[in-house]
Amino acid sequence: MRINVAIAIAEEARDRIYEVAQVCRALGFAHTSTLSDIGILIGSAEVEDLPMLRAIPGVLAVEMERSRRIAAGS
Amino acid sequence: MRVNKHTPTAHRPVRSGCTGRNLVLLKERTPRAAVALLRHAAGLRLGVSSDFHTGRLQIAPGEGLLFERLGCALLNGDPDQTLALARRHREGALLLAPERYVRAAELGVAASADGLRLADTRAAAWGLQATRVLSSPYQGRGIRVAILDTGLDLTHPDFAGRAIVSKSFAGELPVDDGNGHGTLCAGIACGPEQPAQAPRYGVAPAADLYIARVLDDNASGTDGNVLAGIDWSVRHRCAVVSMSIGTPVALGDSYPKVYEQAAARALAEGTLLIAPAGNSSQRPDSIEPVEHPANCPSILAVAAVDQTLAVAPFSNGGLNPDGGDVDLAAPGIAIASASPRPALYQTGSGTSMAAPLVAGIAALVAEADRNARGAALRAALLKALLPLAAPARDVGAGLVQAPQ
Repeated sequence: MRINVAIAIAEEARDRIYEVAQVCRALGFAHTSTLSDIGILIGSAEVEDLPMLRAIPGVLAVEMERSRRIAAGS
Repeated sequence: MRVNKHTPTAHRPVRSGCTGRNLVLLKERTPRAAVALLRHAAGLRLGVSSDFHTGRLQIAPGEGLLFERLGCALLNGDPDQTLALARRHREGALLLAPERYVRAAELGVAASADGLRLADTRAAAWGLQATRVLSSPYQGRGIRVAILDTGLDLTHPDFAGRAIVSKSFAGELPVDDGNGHGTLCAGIACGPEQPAQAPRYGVAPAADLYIARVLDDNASGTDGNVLAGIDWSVRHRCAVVSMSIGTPVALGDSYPKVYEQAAARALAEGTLLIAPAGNSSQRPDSIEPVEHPANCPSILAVAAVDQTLAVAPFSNGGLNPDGGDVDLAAPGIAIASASPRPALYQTGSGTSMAAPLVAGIAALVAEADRNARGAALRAALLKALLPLAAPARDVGAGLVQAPQ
């Protein structure tokens, strides 16, 4: 199943963000945008591929995208 | 999560009118002569203010205190002594007047059975009074404040002629606010000094407003929208980002790593992220943990207090470790602000209102100190708080205060 994900790039790999993105793409990550100022890649991936994406050098975290709302009751 | 019932603090009854003591203005030029006059006229024993070193004014019956530099005395005479002084007043030997209770009416402070309670005045919303915004010489001039929310009513008269940069990250939706929440938050943070038809409700009227629409008209969005909004704010060198977004977390939950990375990077670039602690509590019966994304260590988590500066019943608490603390508190009940046309004005309650108030004050701090950016801005904000009686779990280090 394909899901939207956000990939955080590790601090030490920030100047290689585009290279890391390339590796992610090679492993099935469909890259839609690069938030270079905060070191985040946005895109989608197969659920089964998440562990592999997390293991890429330079990747700090891979998290499923969730919907967000204003704080309830506000 | 069950917590002990909140114990209300003791409150004194309201006092107004006369105290029962009297003030007397004396013609005698020396303390010695004044003491002699009052002893002779009414049998009163007089102390002299320079002899006292404590701040408390306890005057026993039959005694008085001479304020020697003012040439007047405060007397606690019995009825016979007061009668004797009134006779001397009629003779012109002295001026006698009853002592009255006074209170700070100009601050919109209302005395009630519950003690002091702040209120909106014709001049300004109560939240601006409580945080000393009105007496601050700063207005956020030259400081960029980003609001990540449902957009802004760009045609609102209170924002006419204002420097506003905006972008929509909510798909095809324009920046124009079709929900109201974004306009409310932007108004609290950066509303004008003199609104068209309302008391002042905005903290930083001279700040440069950056509106990133990340939520749709149902106030819903995705991580992708929100993160893109944060990235945009950092790229545009916004010193402050206010995002009134909250997703409940469970006890024991840790913070999301992607948001924390984004926030830490933003901080390093000079952008401070501020978010609400969340409104899912029902104090005193239950307290819920600080919500995402405020539970990130690099994001400032804001709790809400009411007009008596007590923690709001819905305000979440710092129950989770490792970033899940409440950092500080701000006014968050009946907060006046702007609304999209045709209403133009509204009030809101929630930690969602407290967060942009902190953001506005952060802009004032950033103007006051050009070196206060990122982590330094966060530290400056947290250093100048008003301590509150509530525990740190509920209000962090205290109530946000504007730089003076």
